[in-house]
Amino acid sequence: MKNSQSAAVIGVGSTAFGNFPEEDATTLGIAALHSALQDAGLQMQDIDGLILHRVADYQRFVRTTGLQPRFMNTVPGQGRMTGVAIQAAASAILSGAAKTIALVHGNDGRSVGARYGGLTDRYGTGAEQLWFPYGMTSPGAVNALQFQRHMKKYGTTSEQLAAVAVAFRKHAGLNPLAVMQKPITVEDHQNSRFICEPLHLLDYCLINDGGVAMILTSAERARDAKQPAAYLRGFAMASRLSEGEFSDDFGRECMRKVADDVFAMAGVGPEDINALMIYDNFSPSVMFNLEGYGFCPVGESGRWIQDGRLELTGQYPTNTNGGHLSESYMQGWSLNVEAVRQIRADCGARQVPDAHFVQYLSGGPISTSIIYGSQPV
Amino acid sequence: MSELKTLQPVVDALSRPFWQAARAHHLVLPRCEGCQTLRAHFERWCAVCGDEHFQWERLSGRGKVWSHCIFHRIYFPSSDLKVPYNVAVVALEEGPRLISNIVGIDSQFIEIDMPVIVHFEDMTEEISLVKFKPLHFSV
Ligand SMILES: [Zn+2]
Repeated sequence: MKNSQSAAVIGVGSTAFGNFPEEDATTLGIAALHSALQDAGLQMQDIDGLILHRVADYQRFVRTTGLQPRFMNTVPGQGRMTGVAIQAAASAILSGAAKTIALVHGNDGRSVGARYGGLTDRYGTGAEQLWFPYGMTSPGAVNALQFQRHMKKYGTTSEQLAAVAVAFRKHAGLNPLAVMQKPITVEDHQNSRFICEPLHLLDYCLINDGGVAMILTSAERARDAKQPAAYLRGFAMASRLSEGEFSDDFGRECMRKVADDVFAMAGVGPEDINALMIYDNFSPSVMFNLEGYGFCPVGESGRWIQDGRLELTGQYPTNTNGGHLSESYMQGWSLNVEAVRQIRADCGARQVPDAHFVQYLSGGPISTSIIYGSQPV
Repeated sequence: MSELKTLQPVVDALSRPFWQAARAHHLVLPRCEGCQTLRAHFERWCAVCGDEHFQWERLSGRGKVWSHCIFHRIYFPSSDLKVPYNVAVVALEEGPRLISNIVGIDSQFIEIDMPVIVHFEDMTEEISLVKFKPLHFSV
């Protein structure tokens, strides 16, 4: 693959994360875009492509930013679509459909009281008939049911799972943007109340308001960029939506396909990856991703994640911004931004030394992965 | 419409035979005429072969717990569901899986692979919910 054939991130931006009732998804997204433009040293008129995620009002967005996109799309507001959106942008750049694309996520989930679960949540096949009458709802419960099987099948324990939340909280303590910074222990995790047993409160992500934006262009144009570029050395996707929500293999076969493709495209393997950004809507998904993408042996993630392996000094520093569990649930976007910041060596106290390859993993019913590299091919 | 009412299944033309059978305490699911695949949701097309023709088939009502969890958070505040309550995925003997509740056993004692059998709970004149109870215990 030639330089001119890869895409690169040349700007990232985000707002603060928290409770901002005076804002909405559109204004948070616009603020994040301004921040990303400033980071990239670009003007609004330099953008000719736009992909919006969870921004309800694209018309107001475009009118308020004055953008004149010749490539445009909006994707459904689920986090599984984040990798899809970034890959669509990269493909559009590679095809020449656009030169410089802004990806914008605006999220007012906290101030509007977004609930994952309940009557307004249509998550689940035929939820109104087959889930709600039995009290079944929420992606958290789907994770709980999967984790229960992992415990039964492999002897994994909730105490082992705690290592995920503990590691990410440690990282969050080094990230001024993170909403939760106070260190936690395994005991804190165990003592936090059950939400959907076997999952505790500290296994759940933090719903907040905020905006995140990324700016992509070609590797060729990235050479003249203000910031060091993060090159999309590999990206891939597969889907198991047709199986329904409950996968017999924790989604491994689907992730395996993505892993084969993304590593082949990037020309690297798991051993070359310096840091991981794993979609952690709930802590078990981190374990399922590690097994699915081949970072740890099948069934062994409970033991494998012990002894700080996911921490900054461990073998695979993971979610160095604190992730969705401790920074904020920005649906994968701030994980991708963190990957870029690690590649740029912009992370201060939480910087992973020599971060040349950082990989985003998302292992849900749509599985996506992106490998960011510090160098073009 | 109160939330309690909306927690009742929203029956439509495609699912009506399922709920009518449930009210008569029979468990039925659609089996595709094209490829014989049994499915556990109510859509016009078979997702395996695309055929629109199917027959309602009466099932044994036997299955095993595929997984289970216990809800401690209230997601349906105006319904009469009291936390904690269990939710289970039951793998039917014939293959498909249903979301349900396991009755007749303390939630703490539910186990994966536990054999269960259907137990209909009459809710209204029209609706009986399809619940399950352990095969080897009595309710
Ligand atoms: Zn068929």
